[in-house]
Amino acid sequence: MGTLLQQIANGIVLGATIGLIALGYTMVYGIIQLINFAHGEVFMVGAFGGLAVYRWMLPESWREQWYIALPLMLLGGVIVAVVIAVLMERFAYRPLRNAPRLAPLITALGVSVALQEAIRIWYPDADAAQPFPRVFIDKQINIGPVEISASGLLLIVVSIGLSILLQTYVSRSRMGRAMRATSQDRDTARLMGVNPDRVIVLTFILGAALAGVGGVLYGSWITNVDNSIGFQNGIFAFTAAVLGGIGSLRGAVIGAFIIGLIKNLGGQYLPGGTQYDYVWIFVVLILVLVFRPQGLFGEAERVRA
Amino acid sequence: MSKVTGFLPAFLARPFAAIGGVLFLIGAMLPWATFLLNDGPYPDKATLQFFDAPLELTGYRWNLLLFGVLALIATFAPTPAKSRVLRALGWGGLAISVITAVFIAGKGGGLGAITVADGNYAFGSIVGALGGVAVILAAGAIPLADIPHWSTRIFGLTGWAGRIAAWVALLIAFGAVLYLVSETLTVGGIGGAAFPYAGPIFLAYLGFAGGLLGALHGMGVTGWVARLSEEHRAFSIIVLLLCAFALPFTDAGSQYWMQVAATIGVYAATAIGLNIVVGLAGLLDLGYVAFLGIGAFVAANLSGAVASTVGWNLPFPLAALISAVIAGIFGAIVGSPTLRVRGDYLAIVTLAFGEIFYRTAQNDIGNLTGGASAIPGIPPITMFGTAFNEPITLFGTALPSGVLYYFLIVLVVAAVMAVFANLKNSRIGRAWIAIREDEDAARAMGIATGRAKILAFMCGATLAGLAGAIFVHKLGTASYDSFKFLESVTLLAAVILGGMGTIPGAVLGASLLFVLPEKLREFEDYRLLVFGLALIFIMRFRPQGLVPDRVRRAEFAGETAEGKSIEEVQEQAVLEHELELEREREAPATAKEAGR
Amino acid sequence: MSAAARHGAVDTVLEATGVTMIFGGLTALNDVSLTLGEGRIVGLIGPNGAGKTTFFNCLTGLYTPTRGAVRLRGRELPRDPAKVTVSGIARTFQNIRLFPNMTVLENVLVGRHIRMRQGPLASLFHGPRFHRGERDARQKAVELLEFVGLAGLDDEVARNLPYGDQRRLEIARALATEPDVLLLDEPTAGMNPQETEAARQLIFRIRDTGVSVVVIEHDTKFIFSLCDSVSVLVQGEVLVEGSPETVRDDPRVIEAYLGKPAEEVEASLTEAAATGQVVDRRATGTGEEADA
Repeated sequence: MGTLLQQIANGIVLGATIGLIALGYTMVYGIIQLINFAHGEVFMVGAFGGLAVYRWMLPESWREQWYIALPLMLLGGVIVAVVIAVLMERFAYRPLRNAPRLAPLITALGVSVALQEAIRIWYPDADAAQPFPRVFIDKQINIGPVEISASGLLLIVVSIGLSILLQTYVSRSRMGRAMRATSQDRDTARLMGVNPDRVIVLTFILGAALAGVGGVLYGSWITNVDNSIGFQNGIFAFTAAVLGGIGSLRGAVIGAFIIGLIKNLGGQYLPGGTQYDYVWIFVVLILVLVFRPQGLFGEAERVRA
Repeated sequence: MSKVTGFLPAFLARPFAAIGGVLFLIGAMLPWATFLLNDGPYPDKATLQFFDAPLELTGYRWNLLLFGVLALIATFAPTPAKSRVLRALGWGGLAISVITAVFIAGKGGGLGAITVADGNYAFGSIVGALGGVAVILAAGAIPLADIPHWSTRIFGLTGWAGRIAAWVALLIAFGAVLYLVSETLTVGGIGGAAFPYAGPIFLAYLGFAGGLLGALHGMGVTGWVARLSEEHRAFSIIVLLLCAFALPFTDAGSQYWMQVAATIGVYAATAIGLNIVVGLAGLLDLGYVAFLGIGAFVAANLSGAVASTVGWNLPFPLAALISAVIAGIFGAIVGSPTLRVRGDYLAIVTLAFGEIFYRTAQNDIGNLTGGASAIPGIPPITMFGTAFNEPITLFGTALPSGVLYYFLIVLVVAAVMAVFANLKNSRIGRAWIAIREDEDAARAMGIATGRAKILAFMCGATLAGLAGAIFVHKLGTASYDSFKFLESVTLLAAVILGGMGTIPGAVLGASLLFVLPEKLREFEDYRLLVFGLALIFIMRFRPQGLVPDRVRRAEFAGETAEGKSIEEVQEQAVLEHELELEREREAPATAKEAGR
Repeated sequence: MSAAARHGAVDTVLEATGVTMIFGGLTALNDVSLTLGEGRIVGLIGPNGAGKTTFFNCLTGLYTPTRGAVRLRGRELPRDPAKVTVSGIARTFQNIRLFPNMTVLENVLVGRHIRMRQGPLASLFHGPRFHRGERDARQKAVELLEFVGLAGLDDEVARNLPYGDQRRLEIARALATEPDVLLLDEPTAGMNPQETEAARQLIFRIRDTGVSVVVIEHDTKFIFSLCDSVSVLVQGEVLVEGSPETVRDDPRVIEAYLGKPAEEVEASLTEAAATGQVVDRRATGTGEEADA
């Protein structure tokens, strides 16, 4: 019983991480129907951006105070993630907006590989896993039989908080309305005075900011980062987005928690143990795509011509 | 048809081209480095004065010299599609100069190495680069003519005379291809510590080869050879096969290069299989390398390797057949979601299948894959009483070990090409292409699209499985690590880089993607980075690939449908030349008038 | 051909009875019936969004009607576009859907697909029987191209054809499936008067080869001069059905079709046909996607 609850708790923390990435996937897909493979790498560079702030910018005395260090690291991570995302939108994806669908997908693969490699080559020491500072009070909290780290708890709170905030923004604000209009019909939105380019960039920025936050918090939870965390978690996040019904913000977050639970519980209780936990996620991905491509919470299936 | 793209006014085209050609000549004759580099007197005796020992110069300086002569000929003689020829020569020369300059400056510690240092001067690379720029500018100022479409009837000969003339032409062309391939493999040496200059020499050579081929293409020669070989298909196939078999007898016939060539062959065969799925049927497969892996593991288990669980020892042809069939069955399984899933969702499904294969192989599922310890000790293929890793003697020439694998692979690649070509030009191939073009319309034509798509996956997987069986024997071990996601992406990139839906494309793409890393060992660390960036740039600037499909090629190059005789082409060239001269005469006159 | 001959007793080829199609809460088609006699040409007209293309999609198996049945020579049609084509119904699309990167000849050869008997093994080994089948198919395709007036354009890439030729190629491709019934979705959209007249003659010639034809059109003049009988579809229901003369003179048609008093109709009919097409195609095009 204790193990079960513990695994559920771990799954929820992982789900919170994945959720922060999945929101970006689902927004970008909702607006330009692009599976932005490189979005996972945005998460990864966000983590490394936060690490850079800690290592080279914070004075020694500030590093101990989490309430100073953490916000600055988050800021650093978000800035790096957003800059990378805007650059890739501008120079890799935008020129291909009217190309056949294969082209942007392959470009996204290229961006993903290039970003991973760029970090490995040019980020000092990043050719091996880097220890990530436990800036947030290095403490375990016990809730009944479950032990959860403070940073894990923070990750859950921030993830849920930000997704509610995003949901509100998209449904209430002017820009959010423009986003929804663009995702429905880009040409009509343009006729109504919406500038699709700006909306698309904004989408990338929002997604990247969430991924940047996720990267930094994930780093301080898992306590070390390497250049492959983006690809792995990116695939998980994509699965979550599809599971929740791609294009749906709430679906992405719920999907993420389901994926987190599947990974941890599957690793614990299914045959093969943790060695096969990835496999279960891919199995879920295939099953969802084949039998319910609109996702668990998606609308009725649309014929895609 | 005539579009001027350049910054130069038309009347300056000829002077600039001439100056550029002369600069090429001068650049080639000047020394290129002011001192000997630490790693030895390479590249190609760059410190030598041309006139000290002209015959000792080899490699890129001779290449540049040749380009200079060609550029001058193209400038003053009536050349068909002059702007295209000059443009190719200019970019080729520029590439040679810049690559070499960057390398010498980098290795020699600064610009001193390619300008003036220790009282020595070495402006070769700079002069060469300036020549390149001049020629490119000149090319831009000449109207861009269509690529001439030469008639395949040589000198108007018909019957046997025409046929023999065509054969001779094809023999010469394929001989040149063989020479180029051999040269491309061996130029600059193997790469790595023993050959510190392999990378730049090779890249500079690519600049040369690219410029030359570009010029020939611009003149319509490559298209003409392609049509000629199409018309004399059987003859071309035989000659090409003979050329492939002749490769070990050239400079490239060392153990090392035979091994590289055989590896390229394996990936080329796999890439052609992938081309059925991606290029013909238009289904993006991101987990394709799994089929290579399945073939490899099946063959490993049937090879009698001690470490394998099944441990049967079947004769190779039988084992290869079983590997191919099992891979094909898995192909059908992986392809079955195509019944319900389309587009990039399908790409994700295939990616997921690929990852599942990778993870299960990593965890040694059913003790079939050896997990992290792999399946080592797979014996070489043995047929006709000869182990394939033995050196042999053929026609009095001692051939290195590994050459038998090379021969086997050549045969397999030829067979795979035949399969691809036959399928493409059949009812099923047309159905695949129709699905790629418009799936709903294909269905409205009565094509059972689901079945056709699964068949595409099966065919591709079968070919990959076959390639995997050879791969594993050649390598001696079967490890899950050879079949990771990145390999799938690389194969996909090979297909796209070469040109989707074409055979030469897949082979060319596979060759480039697997030769370049061998040559550029010293940049090993940057390999994947460059690879990722290359994917982005290809999609942006040349999505149709290096050797586009017939239809796309026709569209991009603006070829005309009807053939022209060489005389007609020549006539047109003379005409253009005269027009150009006329423009030159007129231009200063109008300029004067305007000034008045 | 005399009117009596045209309206004589003929066998029914295609019969749709009570076809109803409901998307979510929207009733796109309500109890639509249509009968097509052997060797006849039937026209289907109606304002935008009346459900004409939806009805076509029901006939070709792209949609499964909520209620109602479609029978070809008395047999219920299968619910799969590919199988419908095999059983003898071919169609063209409103917004031309050729295989753009294939040549003209290859497009028609794809149409021959279901009438060819080459299995995977034959395709792999190219034996003598394969070559015979391929030769026959090519010959048939060349004949069809000649029939629709595209002779000599075999190796042209479909995408590079002029608009009118693309429409003809689509018809040739559909005919290559050897259909009993040919469904034409706005075959003259975007054509000039000469091309329209050529299309009319072509449809007559197709009819004369024994193929029965259903045509959707906006150009009412075209329809009235072409068809043996005409159905008017308004808001998913058949308003009037009958000979061109009856339909043309029916005040309800004029009222419903244009929503205007009768005297303005003649003028606007032609005008609508000439200028309305660009807008029409776009409107129904997006409507189609929303439907789907």
